[in-house]
Amino acid sequence: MTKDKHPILSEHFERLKALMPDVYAKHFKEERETKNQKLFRMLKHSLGVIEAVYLQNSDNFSLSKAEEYSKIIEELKELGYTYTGQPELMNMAAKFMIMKAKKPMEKATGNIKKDNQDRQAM
Amino acid sequence: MTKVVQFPVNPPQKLGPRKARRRRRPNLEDYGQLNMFDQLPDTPIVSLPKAGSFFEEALTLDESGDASAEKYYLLAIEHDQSVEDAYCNLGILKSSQGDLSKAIDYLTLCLQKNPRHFEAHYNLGNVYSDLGNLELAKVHYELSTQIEPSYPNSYYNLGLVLISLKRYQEAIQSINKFVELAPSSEHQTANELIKTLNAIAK
Repeated sequence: MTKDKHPILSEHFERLKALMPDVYAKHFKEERETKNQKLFRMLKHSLGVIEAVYLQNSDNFSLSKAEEYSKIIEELKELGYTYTGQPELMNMAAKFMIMKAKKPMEKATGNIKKDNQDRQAM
Repeated sequence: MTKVVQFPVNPPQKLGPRKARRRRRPNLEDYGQLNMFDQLPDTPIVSLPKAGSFFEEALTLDESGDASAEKYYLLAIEHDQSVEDAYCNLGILKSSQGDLSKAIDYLTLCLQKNPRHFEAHYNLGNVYSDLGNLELAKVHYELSTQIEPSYPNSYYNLGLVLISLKRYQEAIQSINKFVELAPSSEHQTANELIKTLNAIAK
Protein backbone atom coordinates (compact mmCIF):
# COMPACT_ATOMS: atom_id res chain seq x y z
CA MET A 1 0.00 0.00 0.00
CA THR A 2 1.54 3.30 -1.04
CA LYS A 3 1.00 6.52 0.71
CA ASP A 4 0.86 9.05 -2.16
CA LYS A 5 -0.57 11.98 -0.20
CA HIS A 6 1.36 14.05 2.23
CA PRO A 7 -0.86 14.44 5.29
CA ILE A 8 -0.03 18.13 5.92
CA LEU A 9 -0.43 19.14 2.25
CA SER A 10 -3.60 17.15 1.93
CA GLU A 11 -5.07 18.95 4.90
CA HIS A 12 -4.00 22.29 3.43
CA PHE A 13 -5.72 21.59 0.10
CA GLU A 14 -8.87 20.41 1.82
CA ARG A 15 -9.01 23.76 3.61
CA LEU A 16 -8.49 25.61 0.34
CA LYS A 17 -11.28 23.61 -1.30
CA ALA A 18 -13.60 24.63 1.49
CA LEU A 19 -12.59 28.28 1.15
CA MET A 20 -12.80 28.48 -2.69
CA PRO A 21 -15.14 25.78 -3.93
CA ASP A 22 -15.60 27.45 -7.38
CA VAL A 23 -11.90 27.36 -8.20
CA TYR A 24 -11.62 23.70 -7.32
CA ALA A 25 -14.83 22.83 -9.11
CA LYS A 26 -13.18 23.77 -12.45
CA HIS A 27 -10.68 20.96 -12.08
CA PHE A 28 -13.45 18.44 -11.82
CA LYS A 29 -15.69 20.05 -14.43
CA GLU A 30 -15.93 17.04 -16.72
CA GLU A 31 -16.82 14.76 -13.83
CA ARG A 32 -19.29 17.12 -12.24
CA GLU A 33 -21.06 18.19 -15.45
CA THR A 34 -24.61 16.98 -15.50
CA LYS A 35 -26.26 15.43 -18.56
CA ASN A 36 -28.18 18.66 -19.24
CA GLN A 37 -25.04 20.76 -19.09
CA LYS A 38 -23.33 18.42 -21.53
CA LEU A 39 -26.28 18.73 -23.89
CA PHE A 40 -26.21 22.51 -23.56
CA ARG A 41 -22.50 22.54 -24.37
CA MET A 42 -23.12 20.38 -27.45
CA LEU A 43 -25.99 22.61 -28.53
CA LYS A 44 -23.86 25.73 -28.15
CA HIS A 45 -21.24 24.06 -30.31
CA SER A 46 -23.87 23.23 -32.98
CA LEU A 47 -25.21 26.78 -32.92
CA GLY A 48 -21.66 27.99 -33.37
CA VAL A 49 -21.37 25.83 -36.49
CA ILE A 50 -24.61 27.34 -37.87
CA GLU A 51 -23.29 30.84 -37.18
CA ALA A 52 -20.01 30.05 -38.94
CA VAL A 53 -21.92 28.78 -42.00
CA TYR A 54 -23.98 31.99 -42.00
CA LEU A 55 -20.91 34.21 -41.72
CA GLN A 56 -19.19 32.37 -44.55
CA ASN A 57 -22.12 32.74 -46.95
CA SER A 58 -25.16 34.62 -45.74
CA ASP A 59 -26.90 34.32 -49.14
CA ASN A 60 -27.51 30.63 -48.54
CA PHE A 61 -29.38 31.42 -45.38
CA SER A 62 -33.09 31.79 -45.98
CA LEU A 63 -35.33 33.77 -43.66
CA SER A 64 -37.12 30.65 -42.50
CA LYS A 65 -33.78 29.11 -41.43
CA ALA A 66 -33.02 32.26 -39.44
CA GLU A 67 -36.40 31.95 -37.78
CA GLU A 68 -35.66 28.32 -36.81
CA TYR A 69 -32.34 29.44 -35.35
CA SER A 70 -34.02 32.13 -33.26
CA LYS A 71 -36.63 29.63 -32.06
CA ILE A 72 -33.85 27.40 -30.63
CA ILE A 73 -32.43 30.37 -28.73
CA GLU A 74 -35.88 31.33 -27.43
CA GLU A 75 -36.41 27.77 -26.17
CA LEU A 76 -33.01 27.81 -24.49
CA LYS A 77 -33.99 31.01 -22.67
CA GLU A 78 -37.25 29.42 -21.58
CA LEU A 79 -35.27 26.49 -20.15
CA GLY A 80 -33.16 28.92 -18.11
CA TYR A 81 -30.00 28.94 -20.22
CA THR A 82 -28.42 32.12 -21.51
CA TYR A 83 -27.25 32.30 -25.09
CA THR A 84 -27.44 35.62 -26.93
CA GLY A 85 -27.07 34.29 -30.47
CA GLN A 86 -25.55 35.85 -33.55
CA PRO A 87 -26.93 39.43 -33.73
CA GLU A 88 -27.33 39.56 -37.53
CA LEU A 89 -29.15 36.25 -37.60
CA MET A 90 -31.38 37.30 -34.70
CA ASN A 91 -32.15 40.56 -36.49
CA MET A 92 -32.99 38.68 -39.70
CA ALA A 93 -35.30 36.35 -37.79
CA ALA A 94 -37.02 39.30 -36.08
CA LYS A 95 -37.71 40.92 -39.47
CA PHE A 96 -39.10 37.67 -40.79
CA MET A 97 -41.40 37.28 -37.79
CA ILE A 98 -42.68 40.86 -38.16
CA MET A 99 -43.41 40.30 -41.85
CA LYS A 100 -45.26 37.06 -41.08
CA ALA A 101 -48.03 39.22 -39.63
CA LYS A 102 -48.61 40.92 -42.98
CA LYS A 103 -51.96 41.03 -44.75
CA PRO A 104 -52.47 38.34 -47.42
CA MET A 105 -52.19 38.70 -51.17
CA GLU A 106 -55.00 40.29 -53.16
CA LYS A 107 -56.55 38.51 -56.15
CA ALA A 108 -57.36 40.45 -59.27
CA THR A 109 -61.01 39.85 -60.16
CA GLY A 110 -61.03 40.92 -63.78
CA ASN A 111 -63.70 43.16 -65.25
CA ILE A 112 -66.23 42.36 -62.55
CA LYS A 113 -64.41 44.39 -59.94
CA LYS A 114 -63.49 47.16 -62.33
CA ASP A 115 -67.15 47.68 -63.22
CA ASN A 116 -68.08 47.92 -59.55
CA GLN A 117 -65.29 50.38 -58.92
CA ASP A 118 -66.56 52.61 -61.72
CA ARG A 119 -70.00 52.64 -60.17
CA GLN A 120 -68.54 53.51 -56.77
CA ALA A 121 -66.58 56.37 -58.26
CA MET A 122 -69.76 57.91 -59.70
CA MET B 1 -119.14 -31.68 -112.64
CA THR B 2 -117.76 -28.42 -111.87
CA LYS B 3 -114.31 -28.02 -110.49
CA VAL B 4 -113.86 -25.65 -107.64
CA VAL B 5 -110.79 -23.71 -108.20
CA GLN B 6 -109.19 -22.40 -105.04
CA PHE B 7 -108.78 -18.68 -105.25
CA PRO B 8 -105.36 -17.70 -104.09
CA VAL B 9 -105.71 -15.66 -100.92
CA ASN B 10 -102.72 -13.75 -99.65
CA PRO B 11 -102.70 -13.51 -95.89
CA PRO B 12 -103.12 -9.91 -94.87
CA GLN B 13 -99.91 -8.19 -94.11
CA LYS B 14 -99.66 -7.41 -90.44
CA LEU B 15 -99.30 -3.76 -89.76
CA GLY B 16 -97.32 -3.06 -86.70
CA PRO B 17 -94.23 -1.42 -85.35
CA ARG B 18 -91.38 -1.01 -87.71
CA LYS B 19 -87.82 -1.09 -86.61
CA ALA B 20 -85.55 1.71 -87.55
CA ARG B 21 -82.74 0.43 -89.64
CA ARG B 22 -79.37 1.90 -90.18
CA ARG B 23 -79.38 3.48 -93.53
CA ARG B 24 -76.38 3.81 -95.66
CA ARG B 25 -75.30 7.38 -95.66
CA PRO B 26 -75.61 8.90 -99.06
CA ASN B 27 -72.37 9.95 -100.62
CA LEU B 28 -72.91 13.63 -101.12
CA GLU B 29 -70.28 13.72 -103.80
CA ASP B 30 -72.56 11.49 -105.94
CA TYR B 31 -74.91 14.45 -105.99
CA GLY B 32 -72.21 16.90 -106.97
CA GLN B 33 -71.66 18.25 -103.47
CA LEU B 34 -68.42 18.58 -101.60
CA ASN B 35 -68.45 16.16 -98.70
CA MET B 36 -67.05 18.02 -95.72
CA PHE B 37 -68.17 15.65 -92.97
CA ASP B 38 -66.49 12.34 -93.73
CA GLN B 39 -63.37 13.17 -91.77
CA LEU B 40 -63.53 15.25 -88.62
CA PRO B 41 -60.75 17.75 -88.31
CA ASP B 42 -58.10 17.00 -85.64
CA THR B 43 -59.21 19.54 -83.07
CA PRO B 44 -58.92 18.99 -79.33
CA ILE B 45 -62.13 18.83 -77.39
CA VAL B 46 -62.05 21.58 -74.83
CA SER B 47 -64.62 21.75 -72.10
CA LEU B 48 -66.19 25.13 -72.25
CA PRO B 49 -66.15 27.17 -69.07
CA LYS B 50 -69.33 27.04 -67.03
CA ALA B 51 -68.94 30.55 -65.68
CA GLY B 52 -68.91 32.27 -69.06
CA SER B 53 -65.20 32.83 -69.58
CA PHE B 54 -62.03 30.93 -68.80
CA PHE B 55 -60.97 33.69 -66.41
CA GLU B 56 -64.23 33.61 -64.44
CA GLU B 57 -64.06 29.81 -64.30
CA ALA B 58 -60.45 30.02 -63.06
CA LEU B 59 -61.44 32.54 -60.41
CA THR B 60 -64.32 30.34 -59.20
CA LEU B 61 -62.00 27.31 -59.04
CA ASP B 62 -59.30 29.37 -57.34
CA GLU B 63 -61.73 30.57 -54.67
CA SER B 64 -62.67 26.96 -53.90
CA GLY B 65 -59.00 25.92 -53.75
CA ASP B 66 -59.19 23.73 -56.85
CA ALA B 67 -55.76 23.04 -58.37
CA SER B 68 -57.14 23.15 -61.92
CA ALA B 69 -57.52 26.93 -61.55
CA GLU B 70 -53.99 27.30 -62.89
CA LYS B 71 -54.94 25.52 -66.14
CA TYR B 72 -57.92 27.84 -66.63
CA TYR B 73 -55.87 30.97 -65.94
CA LEU B 74 -53.45 29.81 -68.65
CA LEU B 75 -56.41 29.19 -71.00
CA ALA B 76 -57.69 32.69 -70.20
CA ILE B 77 -54.32 34.13 -71.23
CA GLU B 78 -54.35 32.01 -74.41
CA HIS B 79 -57.83 33.30 -75.26
CA ASP B 80 -56.98 36.89 -74.39
CA GLN B 81 -59.43 37.09 -71.47
CA SER B 82 -58.42 39.39 -68.57
CA VAL B 83 -54.79 38.60 -69.35
CA GLU B 84 -53.19 40.92 -66.78
CA ASP B 85 -55.47 39.70 -63.97
CA ALA B 86 -54.82 36.07 -64.94
CA TYR B 87 -51.05 36.67 -64.71
CA CYS B 88 -51.52 38.37 -61.36
CA ASN B 89 -53.52 35.47 -59.92
CA LEU B 90 -51.08 32.93 -61.33
CA GLY B 91 -48.42 34.82 -59.37
CA ILE B 92 -50.44 34.34 -56.17
CA LEU B 93 -50.90 30.63 -56.93
CA LYS B 94 -47.16 30.15 -57.48
CA SER B 95 -46.35 32.06 -54.31
CA SER B 96 -48.66 29.82 -52.28
CA GLN B 97 -46.88 26.81 -53.82
CA GLY B 98 -43.57 28.24 -52.58
CA ASP B 99 -42.26 28.93 -56.09
CA LEU B 100 -41.38 32.56 -55.43
CA SER B 101 -39.25 33.09 -58.54
CA LYS B 102 -42.11 31.93 -60.79
CA ALA B 103 -44.47 34.14 -58.74
CA ILE B 104 -42.28 37.16 -59.52
CA ASP B 105 -42.19 36.11 -63.17
CA TYR B 106 -46.00 36.08 -63.46
CA LEU B 107 -46.48 39.27 -61.46
CA THR B 108 -43.98 41.15 -63.60
CA LEU B 109 -45.65 39.80 -66.75
CA CYS B 110 -48.82 41.35 -65.38
CA LEU B 111 -47.02 44.66 -64.90
CA GLN B 112 -45.67 44.40 -68.45
CA LYS B 113 -49.30 44.39 -69.63
CA ASN B 114 -50.37 47.06 -67.16
CA PRO B 115 -47.64 48.89 -65.22
CA ARG B 116 -50.28 50.43 -62.96
CA HIS B 117 -51.87 47.14 -61.88
CA PHE B 118 -52.20 47.83 -58.16
CA GLU B 119 -52.81 44.22 -57.04
CA ALA B 120 -49.62 43.13 -58.85
CA HIS B 121 -47.57 45.82 -57.06
CA TYR B 122 -49.11 44.91 -53.70
CA ASN B 123 -48.54 41.18 -54.26
CA LEU B 124 -44.97 41.78 -55.41
CA GLY B 125 -44.46 43.64 -52.13
CA ASN B 126 -45.58 40.49 -50.30
CA VAL B 127 -43.32 38.22 -52.37
CA TYR B 128 -40.26 40.44 -51.88
CA SER B 129 -40.88 40.66 -48.14
CA ASP B 130 -41.08 36.84 -48.05
CA LEU B 131 -37.71 36.79 -49.77
CA GLY B 132 -36.31 39.27 -47.23
CA ASN B 133 -35.76 42.02 -49.80
CA LEU B 134 -37.46 44.72 -47.75
CA GLU B 135 -36.26 47.68 -49.82
CA LEU B 136 -37.94 46.28 -52.95
CA ALA B 137 -41.02 45.32 -50.94
CA LYS B 138 -41.24 48.90 -49.71
CA VAL B 139 -41.08 50.30 -53.27
CA HIS B 140 -43.93 48.05 -54.45
CA TYR B 141 -46.14 48.77 -51.42
CA GLU B 142 -45.58 52.50 -51.94
CA LEU B 143 -46.49 52.20 -55.62
CA SER B 144 -49.59 50.26 -54.63
CA THR B 145 -50.67 53.05 -52.25
CA GLN B 146 -50.14 55.64 -54.98
CA ILE B 147 -52.19 53.76 -57.57
CA GLU B 148 -54.99 52.74 -55.17
CA PRO B 149 -54.86 55.15 -52.17
CA SER B 150 -58.05 53.74 -50.64
CA TYR B 151 -56.77 50.16 -50.23
CA PRO B 152 -55.87 49.78 -46.52
CA ASN B 153 -53.74 46.61 -46.58
CA SER B 154 -50.95 48.26 -48.60
CA TYR B 155 -50.46 50.75 -45.74
CA TYR B 156 -50.42 48.00 -43.10
CA ASN B 157 -47.82 45.90 -44.89
CA LEU B 158 -45.78 49.00 -45.70
CA GLY B 159 -45.90 49.80 -41.98
CA LEU B 160 -44.49 46.37 -41.12
CA VAL B 161 -41.67 46.79 -43.64
CA LEU B 162 -40.85 50.19 -42.12
CA ILE B 163 -40.74 48.62 -38.62
CA SER B 164 -38.30 46.00 -39.92
CA LEU B 165 -36.20 48.80 -41.42
CA LYS B 166 -36.35 50.57 -38.01
CA ARG B 167 -38.07 53.62 -39.48
CA TYR B 168 -40.58 53.83 -36.68
CA GLN B 169 -42.06 57.31 -37.26
CA GLU B 170 -42.90 56.48 -40.89
CA ALA B 171 -44.28 53.12 -39.76
CA ILE B 172 -46.61 54.88 -37.30
CA GLN B 173 -47.88 57.16 -40.08
CA SER B 174 -48.50 54.23 -42.40
CA ILE B 175 -50.35 52.14 -39.81
CA ASN B 176 -52.40 55.19 -38.78
CA LYS B 177 -53.46 55.49 -42.42
CA PHE B 178 -54.48 51.83 -42.34
CA VAL B 179 -56.66 52.49 -39.26
CA GLU B 180 -58.26 55.42 -41.08
CA LEU B 181 -59.24 53.25 -44.06
CA ALA B 182 -59.82 49.76 -42.64
CA PRO B 183 -63.08 48.55 -41.07
CA SER B 184 -63.26 48.88 -37.27
CA SER B 185 -62.96 45.10 -36.79
CA GLU B 186 -59.32 45.36 -37.87
CA HIS B 187 -58.37 48.30 -35.66
CA GLN B 188 -57.40 46.46 -32.47
CA THR B 189 -54.14 44.85 -33.63
CA ALA B 190 -53.12 47.98 -35.50
CA ASN B 191 -53.76 50.21 -32.48
CA GLU B 192 -51.70 47.92 -30.23
CA LEU B 193 -48.91 48.05 -32.79
CA ILE B 194 -49.03 51.86 -32.82
CA LYS B 195 -48.81 51.93 -29.01
CA THR B 196 -45.72 49.72 -29.05
CA LEU B 197 -44.17 51.77 -31.84
CA ASN B 198 -44.79 55.02 -29.96
CA ALA B 199 -43.02 53.55 -26.95
CA ILE B 200 -40.05 52.46 -29.09
CA ALA B 201 -39.85 55.70 -31.06
CA LYS B 202 -39.65 57.86 -27.89
